[in-house]
Amino acid sequence: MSELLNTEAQKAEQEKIEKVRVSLDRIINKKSKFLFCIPDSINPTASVYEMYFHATVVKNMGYEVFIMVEKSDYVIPTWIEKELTAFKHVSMADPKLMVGPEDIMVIPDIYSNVMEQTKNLPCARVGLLQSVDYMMNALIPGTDWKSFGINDIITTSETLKEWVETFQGKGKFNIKAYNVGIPSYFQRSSIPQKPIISVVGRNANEISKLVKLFFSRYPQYSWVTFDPMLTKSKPPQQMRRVDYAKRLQGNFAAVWVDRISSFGTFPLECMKSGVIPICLKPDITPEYILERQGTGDTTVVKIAEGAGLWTDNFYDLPVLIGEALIKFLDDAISPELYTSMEKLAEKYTQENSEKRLAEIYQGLLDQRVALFNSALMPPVQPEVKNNLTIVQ
Amino acid sequence: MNITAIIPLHEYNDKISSLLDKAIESVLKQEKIDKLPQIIVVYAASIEENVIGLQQGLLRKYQNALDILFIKNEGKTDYQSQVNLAVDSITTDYFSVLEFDDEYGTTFFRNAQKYVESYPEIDVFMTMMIEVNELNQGIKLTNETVWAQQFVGENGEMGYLNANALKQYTDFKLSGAVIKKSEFINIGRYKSNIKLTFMYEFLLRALNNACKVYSIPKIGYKHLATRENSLFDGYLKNMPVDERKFWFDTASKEANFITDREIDMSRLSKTVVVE
Repeated sequence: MSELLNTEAQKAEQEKIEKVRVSLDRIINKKSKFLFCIPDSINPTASVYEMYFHATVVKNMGYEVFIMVEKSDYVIPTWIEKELTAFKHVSMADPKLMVGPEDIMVIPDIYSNVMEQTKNLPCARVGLLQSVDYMMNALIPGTDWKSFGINDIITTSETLKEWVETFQGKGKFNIKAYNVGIPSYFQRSSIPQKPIISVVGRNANEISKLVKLFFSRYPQYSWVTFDPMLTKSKPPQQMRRVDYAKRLQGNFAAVWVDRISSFGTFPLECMKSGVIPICLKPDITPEYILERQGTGDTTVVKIAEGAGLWTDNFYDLPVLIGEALIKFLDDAISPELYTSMEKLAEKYTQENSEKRLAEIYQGLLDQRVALFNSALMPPVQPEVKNNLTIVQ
Repeated sequence: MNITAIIPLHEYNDKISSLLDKAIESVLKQEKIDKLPQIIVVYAASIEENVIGLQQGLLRKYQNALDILFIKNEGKTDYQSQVNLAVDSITTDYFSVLEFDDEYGTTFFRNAQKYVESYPEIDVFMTMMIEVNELNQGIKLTNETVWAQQFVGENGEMGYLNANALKQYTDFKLSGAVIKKSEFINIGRYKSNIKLTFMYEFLLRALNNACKVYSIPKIGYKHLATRENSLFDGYLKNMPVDERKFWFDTASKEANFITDREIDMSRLSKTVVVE
């Protein structure tokens, strides 16, 4: 009887080892899959663009990529370049899609429910943190992503990494940070800019209030136009990102009000485009605008030169817009400002971003390979020397 | 520099001399350009003696820094005729009229050059100007309206003047404007038979002839709007409302013709009698 049991156990163990070996082979031969869960988004958001960018990086590494969507009638965003969205889009409810231990699923912050629902899947799962607000909204008190078995996090800045460590514990997660890449079509134009101000914000009422405040404060500039960055069609539509970049570069300044932003892609797009960003500081100050001088206790943190105009006070914004406009009309904006904006934003390229993301995803794969290899290693036999047993 | 500055001068006295000096200096103080623009002063033959003195003074003061050409005008000395005469002598593709009591901003020519290079299809670049009183106090901005979306209309493009908008709002000025010489000549130049509204008529005519008119969104020109005894001061003080209306009506009508036709003033008399 015990012999029979031993044989069965050995058989099961061998099957398990065989499965691990197959998974290992699949990873090594780039046959494993990457699954990116992407939320529905009517309006263009940097976060969705970024997920498609990740998917493209992985595709370029040679792996098969699926985009997991909530609804079967999901509409692929037209505002993103076609080459970034050319993937198989599969409904999360599709029972035909099988995942194995060799596969990796990337789940964004907004989807803690997906994290919960997928916790028993054999694949590796990675949390993508772009917005603290989305992450916290989706969590119930007392939980974090560890509750759903997530160990690996990819995030868009060192600031967010520090934030996770501060609030959810240092060393709890394996966190990898990278710099978001701004597409190269966000660039300065040689055509002179117009006295038009782009306005981008999460809260439409707040934007409307800001514009009214500006006109109240500066009635002499009642002719100035604020551009909501939509198409000129009826009804206005969201623009493709490449067209958005073209429109942006023609306006001399841009206002950004997004209190809950965790990174702030828009100000970087402005800096690359030679457009003065006039911004309300969000809850988490973007790390790229901060300049640290000195060391230790004497460290002084200030807004970096070239970061544009930033304030903590919403009611300062109309005045900052007015001051920028007066300088523009008087032709008194220093050319050095544009140089320093470009310098400040120069590291945020898609090339740099792709390079770093490829390292991160390769790291996750290597981690998986190491795990499978350790499972294939024969169990360590105790070494017997004289009368002593040494267990390594 | 592909732009020549034209200064029409039809009278001369100490005050004008002082204003003219500032106007010329505003050309010489241009920043960040390789070569200063040429200035052409068209003067009425009646003030020739004064102009000789002026020439000598300028030569002493600026020596070789100044590229200035004086043209004596023995014909009609109204503003329009003076400009028309000067245009024949310019060798650049564009010109800008600097009124002797006005001044360019220090980056005017740098900007103007940049805009003419960036928008070669544009024929008239109005300049956004600040109008001041004799105490040099700002009164208002002019030519800025084309940057308002409400003004250009939903089909109009911001920055460009269109005929529909111009018919609703007439307060545009061509002082300091950078004008393409070839188109200026093609569409019939300024009309000396039109009084008060000759700039308005020119703009309407330009638009009727498919010229593109754009406003440079930089405050590059300071216009003295309230000088005692100036042409427009005279219009403001002495011209009855009916006559002003007459000139606007005349401008709308004459803008359909390239030639500077004689104006039938009898219509004005009738209008006055009727009212």
